[in-house]
Amino acid sequence: MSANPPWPSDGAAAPIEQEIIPPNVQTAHAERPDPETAVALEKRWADPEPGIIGSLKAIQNDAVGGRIMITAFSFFLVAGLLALLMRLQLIKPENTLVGPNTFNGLFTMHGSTMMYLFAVPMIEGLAIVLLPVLLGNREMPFPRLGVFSYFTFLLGGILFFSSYLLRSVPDAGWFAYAPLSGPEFSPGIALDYWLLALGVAEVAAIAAGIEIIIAILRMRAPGMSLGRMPLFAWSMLVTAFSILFAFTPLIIGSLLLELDRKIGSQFFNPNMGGSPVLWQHLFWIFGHPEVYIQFIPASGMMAMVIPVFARRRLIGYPLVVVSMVATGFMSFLLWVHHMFSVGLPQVTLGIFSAASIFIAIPTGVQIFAYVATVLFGRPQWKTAFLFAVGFLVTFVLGGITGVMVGVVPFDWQVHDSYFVVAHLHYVLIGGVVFPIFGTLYYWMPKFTGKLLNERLGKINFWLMFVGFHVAFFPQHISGLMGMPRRVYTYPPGMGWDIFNFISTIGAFILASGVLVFIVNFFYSNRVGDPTGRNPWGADTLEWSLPSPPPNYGFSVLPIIHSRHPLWDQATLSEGSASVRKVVQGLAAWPLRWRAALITSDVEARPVEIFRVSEPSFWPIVCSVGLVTVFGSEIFSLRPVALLGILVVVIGVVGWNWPEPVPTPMEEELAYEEHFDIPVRQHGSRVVARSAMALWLLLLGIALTSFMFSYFFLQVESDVWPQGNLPLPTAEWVAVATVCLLLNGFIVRRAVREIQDGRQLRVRLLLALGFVLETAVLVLLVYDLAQMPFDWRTNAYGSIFFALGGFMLLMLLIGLGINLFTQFWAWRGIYSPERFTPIDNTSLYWLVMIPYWLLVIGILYGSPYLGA
Amino acid sequence: MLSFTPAARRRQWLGFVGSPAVWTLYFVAVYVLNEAACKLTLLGATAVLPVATVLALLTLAAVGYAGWLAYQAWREGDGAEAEDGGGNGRFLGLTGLLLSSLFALMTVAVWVAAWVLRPC
Repeated sequence: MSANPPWPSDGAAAPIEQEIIPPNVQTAHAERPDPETAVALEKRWADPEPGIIGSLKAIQNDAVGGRIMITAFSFFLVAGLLALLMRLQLIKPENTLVGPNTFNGLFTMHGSTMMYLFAVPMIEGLAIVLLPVLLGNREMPFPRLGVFSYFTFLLGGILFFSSYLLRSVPDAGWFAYAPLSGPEFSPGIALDYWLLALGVAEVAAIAAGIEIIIAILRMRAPGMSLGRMPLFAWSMLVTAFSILFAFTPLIIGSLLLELDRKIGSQFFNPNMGGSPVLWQHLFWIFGHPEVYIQFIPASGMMAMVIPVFARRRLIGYPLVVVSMVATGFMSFLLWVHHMFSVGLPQVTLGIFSAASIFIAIPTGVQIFAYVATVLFGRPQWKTAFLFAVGFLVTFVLGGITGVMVGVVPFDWQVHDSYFVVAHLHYVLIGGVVFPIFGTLYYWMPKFTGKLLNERLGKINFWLMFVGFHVAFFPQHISGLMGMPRRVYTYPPGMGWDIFNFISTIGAFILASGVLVFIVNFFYSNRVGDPTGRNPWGADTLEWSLPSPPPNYGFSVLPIIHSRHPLWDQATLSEGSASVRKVVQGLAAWPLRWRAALITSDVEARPVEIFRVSEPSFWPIVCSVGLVTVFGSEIFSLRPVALLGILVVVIGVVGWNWPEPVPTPMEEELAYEEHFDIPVRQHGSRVVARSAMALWLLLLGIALTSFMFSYFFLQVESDVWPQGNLPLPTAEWVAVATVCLLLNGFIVRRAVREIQDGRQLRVRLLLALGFVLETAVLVLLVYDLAQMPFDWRTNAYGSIFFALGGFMLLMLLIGLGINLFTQFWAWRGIYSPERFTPIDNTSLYWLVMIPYWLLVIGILYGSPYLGA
Repeated sequence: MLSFTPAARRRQWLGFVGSPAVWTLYFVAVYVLNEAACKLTLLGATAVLPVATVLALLTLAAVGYAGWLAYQAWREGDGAEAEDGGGNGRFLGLTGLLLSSLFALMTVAVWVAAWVLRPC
């Protein structure tokens, strides 16, 4: 470390009394462009046209993220109303406000909506709005993917609630346990609504997760190394990866259950070799991380709010990062603690119990860091901070009961009782809802330009805080007294009456707090004064911009030297000559296309300038097509589903259709030479490559879920293949394997040829690859068609065809990618400088080789191991 | 501004996510081992402790290696931050070391469960 760096350090140790940041601190502001440039930038980055069509094409991150948040909040209100109905029903014993079937629908819709349609989208929406300004860049890497995510989520949510119109409301709980949710015990379409409408919303969550990962890792301001990244970004990085790893098994599980319901497969039918416990595994492999998918970003939000209102730097920043990452990993290995009462071997219970209890270590580290920051700070008791304190108090109580239910004998005692209901609401409302409200108070100026009213805010907080504890604390007691969850009523004289009465009163107090928030939102927006740039004297980059920020975010990207740039840096434009040259250059050029900066992952050095996608209608076409596929399948309308698939394919092609280049190539090259940084008008190579890698990771996770299901069924069976079916032979797939290996060599060669500029060879190689890939597909189809059993025969047949079918799907997608790339190769748009689609096609097919070997090895090899 | 070589960056990432990733694999392996041992004739219940012990030792070695990489990244970071300051260049090394320590502890915790409980 140099003796005197020209800027302050990252908050290195200093006496505590010197660490207090004065509330009226003067903070740096983002460098403003000259008026002419500002107008040009604003025009370039504003959404395209007024009116409905323009609005549908809007891709700006503020618009997309804001819409996601408002929609998610609307679902929160609806789910809250359902909860109030439930509490009214339970206010006294033997109440007849609603019947058992309605009550089943109420708790299913309440839980499912809160988990799938409120918490995760709300957090992702917040990330999409905030990340570009928080990280000091201009946009998200895939604005169109954000639009696709929003409309898919919105339409999926509407589809889910349309079940009320047909009186086919899902009623098997938010976990939809088989066999209750299977074709025998839930014969109508209610569970199809649950599986398919929520399935499509899960796709939306994954789509947003992909762009969040790339934004955080590759689109930060120069100098914002990982060690200087705001903790909300760290938390979203962990969360977005968790979404990929958690939502995918759920989608696969939902697919298998839907296949059981619709085409007669036997995955979860114990009479035909299936296992209902398999559903529990697939569900909880998603379900437990889901809790942390909500908690980790909420913790990240609080890590932003607490230092600002405690007026000091967060204590233990590296420890909080470590604990977020550790929590992310550990959260995937706790799922069996939801299944302690299933009847599992002792060591299995032991290791999952150990992990469930040990996760309190990283979670506790976060809490201690926040408490210590408050303790050594000089708190300002604004509403946002009150919610942060409410979070600490409530989440700690929920965490303590969490450790209790992590202990196997205690869990057996309280399993499926109201104690668990109390625990999960302490964790989810305390650990997620309070932080979300706190951050709405904190960041509202950046959304609307107005501060929310503090007096109403405090009423809002106290009503919610008191109402929450009045509602849920008594449920610990009624649970310990034996009251089971998910019952629509209870007899008098069990000693539960008073606790249920108090709970219902508390629920209405809590709801009145939410109502005050809504009133405050409209009131403050109507009569509030425009707020300044940084009303809280906060430390992170978004507060260096006007409230709300301009559409282009930063004109001159900031250069970062500290974790708390606005507290530590007098200006945001100091830095080495080369970096200054890049950011100053980007401020002035280009003004004819949306340009943003790619930086390196660890140290955030400028890597390339790229063109962010322009507004487009195609993502909505894809969303509509996808929701049509899922929606029509609810009613088994296969021709409509096929039409939906066609719409999706057309949408994807339109989406990826190359756009005309707005700037002449000479101008681009001149810029590159002058500013010494690559320029990618055709789109970023880094972003495209990262997206393909994440897509392949996603396919790998899905494949792992299928493989897990296969081995689970194999281990659970007495005979394998079940029903003494003949062992499969692999002659045809052996030929297909040779074709695939040859294809790997060919597509790799195509990349080398384009780098050498040999266009004709590239075209021929891609065409030859296409022939080989088609041969692989045809051979696999032929082999599957020869099998003397099908998916209806037994669970072995079901998983055999499911795994084989998934491999077919991956091959089909690869063929589509090759076809698209080849089309443009024959049109001659690739060059030694611009060949990312060829590179990505090659990567896809190379990764298909290990995936294929795994699938074929399992399908054709593992039956020889027997049961 | 910091600047790392691709090799240094690889070491940083491996040191950072290596130990939790290895521990995850170890945990799943012990889980599958135990489930299989209780159901399959191929593998008896008595095999759980010795196999889990071997897996635990391998995992500890791998976690230790990740910790070593993190330590190297930490040391290299000292030199990389000549004009940067504040421990910025050492961040991934430091956090990698902390993660390795935590997951070494977690490895032992899982192994203890296999040690003190009957498998099936």
